[in-house]
Amino acid sequence: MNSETVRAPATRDVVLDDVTRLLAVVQFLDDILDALELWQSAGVTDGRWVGEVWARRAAPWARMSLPFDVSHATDGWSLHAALLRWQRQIVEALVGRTDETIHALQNGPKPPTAHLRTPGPNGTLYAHDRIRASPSVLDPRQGR
Amino acid sequence: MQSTSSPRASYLDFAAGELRDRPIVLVVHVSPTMRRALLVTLDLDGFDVRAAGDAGEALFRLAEEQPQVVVAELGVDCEGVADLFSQLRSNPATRSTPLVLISTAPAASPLREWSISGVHHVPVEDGLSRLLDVLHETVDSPSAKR
Repeated sequence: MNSETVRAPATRDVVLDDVTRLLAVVQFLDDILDALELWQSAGVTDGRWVGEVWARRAAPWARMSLPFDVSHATDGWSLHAALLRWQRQIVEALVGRTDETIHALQNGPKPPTAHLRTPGPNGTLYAHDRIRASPSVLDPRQGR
Repeated sequence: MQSTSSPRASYLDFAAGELRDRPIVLVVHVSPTMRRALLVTLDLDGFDVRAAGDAGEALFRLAEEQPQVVVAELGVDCEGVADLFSQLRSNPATRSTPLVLISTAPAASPLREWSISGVHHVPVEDGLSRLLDVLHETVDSPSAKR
């Protein structure tokens, strides 16, 4: 592994910070899903609290709005399914990003690829570009 | 074993850059499932939660630690609620601790008629959002500050 690249301030400050943020969102969604399941097992299907807790506790640092199908879910089950879908999209984006980042660190600059949006310096495309190019993950309002 | 408290600081506090003390809430609920659901949800919403299954256990927990607010749902156990309230008010350390009653008792129950300073009613039909709002308002009130 190219340790100089790993220690580069831009990589550490920008790329890892985004990963941490998305991992925290995944964990938060996991906890919300746990809570929803507990309420449903107690016969409570009202999920309006999810949007309020998200706004109070996650939105400021997650810098993401709830996807349309989460914020407009009409019952507990559709809310649960929408949250699960969103969580899976984020995980998939993170997995894709990790692969790209490892490739970039191990193999140096990579030729531009059609599905990635913008090349970085020297034509390198890192995975964070791909995540940014995926509006349904980072800005769910645009993708739905 | 059923967990009766939530972590003191969670990853959310770190993610939000908040390393503050989280307000302690004592949840008293007869149903283990509801108790657990309240514990997880209040923890997510920034509270440090303790839980008890009845008024007796709540009094035991109050002797251990003073919460900023007590949330109680004791069904039709009016005596249990009255004991809890009386113990809260007789202890100088908890005299001003707000009590939030989740009212699942029938509309005719005397509990719904309680109109005492420091007691807040949240009818169960108002939903969890209302309970969370009341808790945030209550811990922000001067009487709940420690």
